[in-house]
Amino acid sequence: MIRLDQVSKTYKRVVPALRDVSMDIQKGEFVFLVGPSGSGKSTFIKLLLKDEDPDRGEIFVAGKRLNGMKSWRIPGLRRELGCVFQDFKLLESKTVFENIAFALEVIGKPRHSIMRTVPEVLELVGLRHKTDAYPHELSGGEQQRVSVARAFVNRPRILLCDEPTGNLDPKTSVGIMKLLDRINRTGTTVVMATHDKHIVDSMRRRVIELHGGQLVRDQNRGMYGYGA
Amino acid sequence: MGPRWGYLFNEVGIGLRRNLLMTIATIVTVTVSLALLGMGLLVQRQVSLAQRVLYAEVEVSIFLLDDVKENQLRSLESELRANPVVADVIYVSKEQAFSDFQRMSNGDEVIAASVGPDVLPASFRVKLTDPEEYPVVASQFAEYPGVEEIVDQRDTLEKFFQVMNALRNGALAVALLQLIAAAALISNTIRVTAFARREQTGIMKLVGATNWYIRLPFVVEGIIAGVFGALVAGGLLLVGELMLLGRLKGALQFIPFINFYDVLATIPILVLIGAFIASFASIISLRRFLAV
Repeated sequence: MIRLDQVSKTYKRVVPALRDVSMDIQKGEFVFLVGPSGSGKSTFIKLLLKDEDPDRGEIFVAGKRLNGMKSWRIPGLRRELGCVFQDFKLLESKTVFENIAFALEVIGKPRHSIMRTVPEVLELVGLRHKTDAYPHELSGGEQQRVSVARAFVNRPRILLCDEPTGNLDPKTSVGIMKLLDRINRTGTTVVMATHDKHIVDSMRRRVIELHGGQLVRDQNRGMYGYGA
Repeated sequence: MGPRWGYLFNEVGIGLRRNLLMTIATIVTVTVSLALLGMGLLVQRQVSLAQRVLYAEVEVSIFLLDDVKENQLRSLESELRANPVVADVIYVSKEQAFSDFQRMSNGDEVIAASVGPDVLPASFRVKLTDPEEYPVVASQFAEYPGVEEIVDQRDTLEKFFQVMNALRNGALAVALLQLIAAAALISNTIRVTAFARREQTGIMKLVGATNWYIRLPFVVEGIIAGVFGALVAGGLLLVGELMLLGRLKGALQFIPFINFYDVLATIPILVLIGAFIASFASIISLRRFLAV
């Protein structure tokens, strides 16, 4: 589902953000991406979204080769990927329903299909009763659920999460992780960059650790750090 | 899957209202530039219309000396008639020239009284098969006995047309500058809107909206300003035709004038140009902003 082959990326020809990284993530896997700040986690996600291009190496996402992909094909790639961020990225002027519907409207989904799928996904994330609320009326955890709902509403094959629990307290974080786990069980590949030791240790999933742009560990049923 | 119209109109409405002042400035600039452009086009049309009609009636006047002999007059007339480039010859006597002048002064007694019956010379009014043949006639008859001067009426018309053409060039030059200003304003307005919506645009890119889908609201916003400005400009030109040209037409009946429908016919051109400039400016200003 995701394959990197000796990928390197350097910003401004000084700091290497990724160095010779190779990995293979299968369909339906749940992968934690760990490492200190500046270890290359965000660069990794940007490369998968084709927001950035690698200097060297090949990247395959959802069966598509990203190197040399024509710019008009990028929207098609992104429709196969759902994204969740630490800061939720919800539109404050739109209700919960409108925020999710927006993601479908702008890729040209017909109204009747939007009217059907948005309530479904709100049911999945447990926010059916908040359909008409605005983001500022919701708690952080609820906002992140809306964000997950928006990322998942188009049933992407891959869900990319960049520190989705970074702004949430531990109890709320567990709720979000349960949600991501449920989404993973539908067959969606989940890649989650995180600093949250507790979550990684309790879930015992595949852990990929980056350090200074290099892949230093790739471990099934791993823990957050060595010997932890 | 085509665009969702509800979404599009909603976004465009928000954008136009968000910078109302900027939108108004843009529309005013577009209006002024397109009104000038329209004026230039109409002057051009007026000139070609007047040229066609007036050149068809243009004549060469051969003014005669007061002491011209009767036999000189006859032989001049017969030679003129025999000339292949001459279509028609009319003799205007001194008395006739005087009464023609009285008639043309339109009852204005000061003008009428300024010229006595003896001042105006007799002349042959010569109509040519082709006004371009004037030099042939001039060279052949200039030295003829009894001829004082040969005047090509085209010379008088040329001056009139020169003024008109200068007017047209001026209007077009100012219009061009204004159009550049309008394009810059549209581009700036779009940039401000795009900046205000960068969050939304970021999400659109993330969920896989196509570039055209992201651009469309901005471009439509620009086009609305452009088309609206063009329509206002068209309205101004129509009003100008009714108020200004209407009066001129009463005063200068011998010149054919463009009419209401000529002005109406330029409006689609203005709308097209307005829309084209606006979409061009929007796309240029968005190119960097929306780079994937």
